[in-house]
Amino acid sequence: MANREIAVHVAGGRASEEMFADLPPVDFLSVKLDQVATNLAALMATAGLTRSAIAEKCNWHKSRVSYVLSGEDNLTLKTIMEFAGAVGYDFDVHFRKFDELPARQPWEHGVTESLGLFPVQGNQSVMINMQTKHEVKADLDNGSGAPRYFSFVPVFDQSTMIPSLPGASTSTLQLVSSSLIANEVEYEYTHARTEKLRRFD
Amino acid sequence: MGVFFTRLMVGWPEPLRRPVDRPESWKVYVVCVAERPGANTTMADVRALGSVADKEAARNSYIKFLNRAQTGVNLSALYDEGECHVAFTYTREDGSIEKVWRIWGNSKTRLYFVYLPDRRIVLLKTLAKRVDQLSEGEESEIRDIAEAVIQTYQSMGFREV
Repeated sequence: MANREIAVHVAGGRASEEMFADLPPVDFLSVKLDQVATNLAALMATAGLTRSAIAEKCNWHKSRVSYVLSGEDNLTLKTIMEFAGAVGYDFDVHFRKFDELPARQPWEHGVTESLGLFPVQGNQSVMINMQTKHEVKADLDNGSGAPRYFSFVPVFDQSTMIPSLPGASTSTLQLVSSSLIANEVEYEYTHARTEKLRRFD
Repeated sequence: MGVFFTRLMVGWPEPLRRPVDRPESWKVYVVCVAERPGANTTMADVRALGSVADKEAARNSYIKFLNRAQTGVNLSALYDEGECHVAFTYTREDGSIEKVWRIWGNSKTRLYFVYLPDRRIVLLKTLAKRVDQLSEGEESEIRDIAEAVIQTYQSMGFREV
């Protein structure tokens, strides 16, 4: 589609800051309600549980689970405690300044360290991140795994095990190799997936 | 010439600012038809909604969308059953199948989007729609925007403004 065709829809557009200029300010409470519900939904997903499973564990009707996760209910501490407990978690109230990042949650494993961008071919480059095996497993479980993982097997003669990656220094790859024992990760991941599938049988 | 992309921002928290990301967060972008954030089509969509109630519903849908995107968890798992799903698919010129996703927000707003690599999501269209089916014209328009997004990404990379 040509830009000219799309442009028809934005003719006379104002600055994006004015997108909701004719609305009242965002309600702080409604956002907080939704953030709490989002965290509960993410916790449920991280644990590999369904809404039906939560309903069963909490002895609630499934429609109540939907309402709790809708972000429209002012949840009580009792409800949050029951929900978290059903998933196998406790919770705290964590305070922070407005401009600080929230505390890490169980589903936020991320990367232990980013080793930066490395050129590989022509203008191409790859970002090499270092993750623990638990971080890799958790990322795969929640669907946020990297497109590729390097597989390293610890041997004494490192010159025979490090693949040639044009542009990446040998010391960097050695650093990565010492942190990723991919065979073990793969075994644990396969094992966890099997266990999860068994639970749903 | 292609299109550009800028982050979806809704003025929460005030003032309007870029959402805080984790490495695993989904990053939600809107489509710009010129190299400036103000030329985004989402702003035009919101203006076209007309009533204040519909605009408020759209803003709430965006806030909910951004909250869920920030977690990095699969979006379908964070919405109620049927609330986030594939709206339609189409076949591209190279034969590949592209999925356009839809979020049915608070039963008043429909958000249409596609996934791009590197955990990016591009919001294509916001509609105040109270029936389930898209009209042929609406689907065609959304498909055209999706194609503009994907073609630009493939030929010129991700051009953020």
